[in-house]
Amino acid sequence: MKTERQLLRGVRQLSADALTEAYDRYSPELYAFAMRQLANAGLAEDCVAETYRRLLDAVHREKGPRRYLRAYLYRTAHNWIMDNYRRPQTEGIAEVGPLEDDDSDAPEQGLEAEARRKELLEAMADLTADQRQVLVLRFVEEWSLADTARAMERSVGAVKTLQFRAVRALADALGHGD
Amino acid sequence: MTAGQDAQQDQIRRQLQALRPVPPRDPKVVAERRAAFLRACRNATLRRGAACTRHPRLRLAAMAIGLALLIVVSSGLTVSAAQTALPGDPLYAAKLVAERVRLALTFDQAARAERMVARVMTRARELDLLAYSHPEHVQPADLARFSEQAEAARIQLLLLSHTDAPRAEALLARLQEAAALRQGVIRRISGETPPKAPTPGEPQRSRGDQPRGPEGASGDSPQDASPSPQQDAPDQVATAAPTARGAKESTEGESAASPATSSASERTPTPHRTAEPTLGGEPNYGASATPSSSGSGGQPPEPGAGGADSETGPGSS
Repeated sequence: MKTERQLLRGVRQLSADALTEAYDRYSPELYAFAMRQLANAGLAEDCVAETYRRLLDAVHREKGPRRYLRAYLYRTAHNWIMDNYRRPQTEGIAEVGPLEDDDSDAPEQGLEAEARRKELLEAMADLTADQRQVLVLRFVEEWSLADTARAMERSVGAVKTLQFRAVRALADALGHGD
Repeated sequence: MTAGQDAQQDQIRRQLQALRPVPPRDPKVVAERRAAFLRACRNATLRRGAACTRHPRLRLAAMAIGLALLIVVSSGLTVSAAQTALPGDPLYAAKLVAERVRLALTFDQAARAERMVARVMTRARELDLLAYSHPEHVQPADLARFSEQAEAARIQLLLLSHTDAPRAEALLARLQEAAALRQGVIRRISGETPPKAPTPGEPQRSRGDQPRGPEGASGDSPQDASPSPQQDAPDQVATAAPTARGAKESTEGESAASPATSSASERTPTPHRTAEPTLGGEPNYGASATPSSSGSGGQPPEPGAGGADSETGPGSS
């Protein structure tokens, strides 16, 4: 398995192997990342496809990521999501769909979980794009501060500050504010 | 961060975990999207490949430029190496071509005249060197080349004399030196004893160092210092073959030309105008040295009018 640096080098050379591996390695988590924020499978797939299209386009123009492929992909996906959030006729934002094809014995629990997701997504919709991104990357994707800083192209200190404010904003939006 | 803030952050973290579960992707959609991406990759690779094919073109262009530079540099080196070539050497033709090119690229009249006189001087030195090292290698064609170039230089000086008489006169003196050098060559290959024991560079130096007369001529006798027009005329060069007999005839022709020299110089009314009649008249490079050139009481010709000079210009010679 190639390291991220090797993979990035191959992607920049438009190597078919590297591009395929980059897609297979990162598209599932990118889909999850998009799905958690968009809660719409079709939009999440579109987000993934558009993210890779932008990568390909940038690399072809000899631009694109220089050091961190994963962070670049997440940043691109985040930007695409933000574009969707800004669109007034957005379909399916915060629209809760079926989480999984579970044959749970307790459908009430599933409904309760769905209700929590919906509440969270609605609350997050009130946050700024950066606050949403830092919360998803740090607490849902469980990225480190350094990785989050790379993806957001900020310093670690700036990410800490942003995270602090995002937590407070979400707590307020959820009615947990002190 | 306070404990309360920590607790709040932990609470939010726990709540956000609810977003972690993600419904599985539709395998059919995943396969379609993946295939679409790989198609796009292939197209991009092809486009990049097409772009890469431009690189060989650039490489070819760079190679062509490099080759051209190599040719230019090697030509320059060849020309540079040919500067010391003598008639009969393999690089001598390159030397002549380089001279011709330089001359063709010189458009200023004065510079052109200077270059032509320098070329004649080069021919004379070549003949001089050749006569010392390998007299048997001196060919009639080499003497004829000197004569042709000397005649061309004389015509150029005639043109220059209308606009820059002092400079034309100075160049004419150099032309005379070259003619004298060539005369020495003819003497040498014909077996005559030269007036002084010369070395390859000496003839021109000795003539150049000697004081000139009041009219600007060399201190030698007119016959020695001033080759007659017949000597420099191409038809006379044919008789000046590097054989003893031919050279003898040539020197005889020189003596026979002396009266003509005097008659041509007599048309020169003032010392300042000596170059004009000499240049415009018969190609006698030493005619201005004759005492009669300054002693005649004729009317000075109008500048540019030329009188007989104009009539006996390049076309007549």
